[in-house]
Amino acid sequence: MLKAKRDLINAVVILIFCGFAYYGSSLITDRNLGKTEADLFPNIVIGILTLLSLCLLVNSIYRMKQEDDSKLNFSLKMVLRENKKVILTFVLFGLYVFLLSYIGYFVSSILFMISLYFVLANNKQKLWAVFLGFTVFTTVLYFVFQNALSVFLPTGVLF
Amino acid sequence: MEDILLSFETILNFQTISILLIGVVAGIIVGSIPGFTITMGVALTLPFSFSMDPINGIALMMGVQVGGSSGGLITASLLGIPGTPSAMATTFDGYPMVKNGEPGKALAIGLWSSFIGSIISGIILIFMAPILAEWALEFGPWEMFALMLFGISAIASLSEGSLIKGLISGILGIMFALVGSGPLMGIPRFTFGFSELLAGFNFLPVLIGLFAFSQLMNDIKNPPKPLNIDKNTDVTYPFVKVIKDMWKSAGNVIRSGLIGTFVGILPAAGGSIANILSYDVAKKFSKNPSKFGKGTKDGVIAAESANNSSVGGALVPMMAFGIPGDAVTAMMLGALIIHGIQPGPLLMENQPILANGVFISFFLAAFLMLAVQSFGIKIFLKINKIPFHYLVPIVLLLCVLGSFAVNNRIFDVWVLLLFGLIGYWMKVNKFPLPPFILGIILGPMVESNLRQAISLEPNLLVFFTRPISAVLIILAMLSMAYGIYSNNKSKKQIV
Repeated sequence: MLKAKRDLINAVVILIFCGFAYYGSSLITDRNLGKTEADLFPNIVIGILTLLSLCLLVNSIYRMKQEDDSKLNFSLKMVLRENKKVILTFVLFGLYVFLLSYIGYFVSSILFMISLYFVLANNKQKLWAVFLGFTVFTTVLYFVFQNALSVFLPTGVLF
Repeated sequence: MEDILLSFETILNFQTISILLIGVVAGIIVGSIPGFTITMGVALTLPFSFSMDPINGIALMMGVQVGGSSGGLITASLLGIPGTPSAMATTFDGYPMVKNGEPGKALAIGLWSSFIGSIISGIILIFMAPILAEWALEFGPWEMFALMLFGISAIASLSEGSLIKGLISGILGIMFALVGSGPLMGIPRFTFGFSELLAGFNFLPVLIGLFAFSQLMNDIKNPPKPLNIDKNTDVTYPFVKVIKDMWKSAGNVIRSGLIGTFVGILPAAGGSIANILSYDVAKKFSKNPSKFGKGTKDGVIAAESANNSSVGGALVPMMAFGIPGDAVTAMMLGALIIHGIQPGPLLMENQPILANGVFISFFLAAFLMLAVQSFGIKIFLKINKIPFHYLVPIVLLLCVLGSFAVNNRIFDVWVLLLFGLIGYWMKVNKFPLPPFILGIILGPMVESNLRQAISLEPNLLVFFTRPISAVLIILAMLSMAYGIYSNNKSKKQIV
């Protein structure tokens, strides 16, 4: 029942995406050259995706009707609790990417790795060793990418 | 002959062999860590391969793939947990063998089976790929379109999860591939005013986000069991005994190698299907089927020979048609495109040294894998003890640097995050990833072939009147029918 309900939500999400994509395809400038315009293939793809999403929607409704429709024990609080570490990781990652261009690769990377360690580790031990290890690793990667691979990493206001 | 000799000269130098060796070592490590997949390992090597010349880049990825396919054997045997999905069947007899007090035998036989399986598929690859590539040169846009349609539908029907979800995944991939400038006049499509999107989404952050980032998030939610092996466990086994055991089961080794190769040739049907199918066949052909599941060497041989030979098999459609046989070869194709090399049937004709280099590096990787795992098994066991909460930040940092390295812009790191989110959403909701990646890679080619076909002949019935195109479309429909059949079968089994 939960899987069917989940698929119903997924189908709706994809249909909304199709609507958004269709709006995007309407913005494509129409230059009629030859037999195929720039929006021909996108519209074919959007059409097929919409059809498949409708199939998923119908299938999930059918499965929901077939299966036991006893009340689901579902709450947003439960979902957030179960996915706490994943959500925190995504948020930390987003912050890290945002800060990369402001405070540079070194500082932001070390901060990110340490904060992630705090999120993931159940038993936090020898924090100084963890900090040192991540700092050394960040430095090694800096030299590998800058000197060996000639990739110039973001610098921020500090260095 | 001259091209082959030139290819040998290109590959057999200290730099390329070192890179291949690094790849094999990295692959074995990644393959042996539960929670890490070979696809993730190859995705992480992409940024490094980007700054190398194409042959070295391919060699690195080949090393990771070959090493990873055999690395899964370590945890599959010692812990009963497959390090990679392609080592699932190895656990059926490898783990009981260890519990029976024969860990060294399980690892040694598994390793040699992996090696011989790789050699068998390598030989088939060398002969089949050029023949198929020459045949594919006769293809027009109708045949290429139909071939890609077959590839996407096959991958959708053979991937885990329902057929509808597999097809949605493939079509979503094509959808994202359309972002950027249109093929003929360069008209912006789905850019919504972002100039960074005019060139579309770069492959690298997309691949890393989908396979590495999302896998890590999945592992954070469902942490893998840590490896705890008694340090006194003897993992050695005499060389002479290995050869004797392999010789007695020569038929099984060769049969499993062939099964793995031909399964690998089918899009999306990689090591995970090959090892289980081969195990099943070995059990049916065995004189003592009751011994399977209790620690018989034939079970380990069947699984490991097949999962490594599927790697070579997956290279056949990649080299012959420019269509990936699995997610890893999809990434290799992406790497070739990033290097400005157009994969397809003309690759073997226009770039014979590169094409032969792929074959040679595959063979060399097999030999290196055998040597490294034979002598380095104890070191790999130690590396596996590194706690997960140290590995995740390290791998995520590599993902960021890899994505940034492509164009030196933060935008690509945001793309990594976006596709990490998409990949995680797909994993949680059981949408398979391989069709998505195939859609992204093949999307532009599908469009260009369809356009060419319609421009040459607007009548769409031509797709059904040209024999090869018609056969491929029928195969696409059959693969979808098979997908529906296997979905219904598995639902009935659950009930």
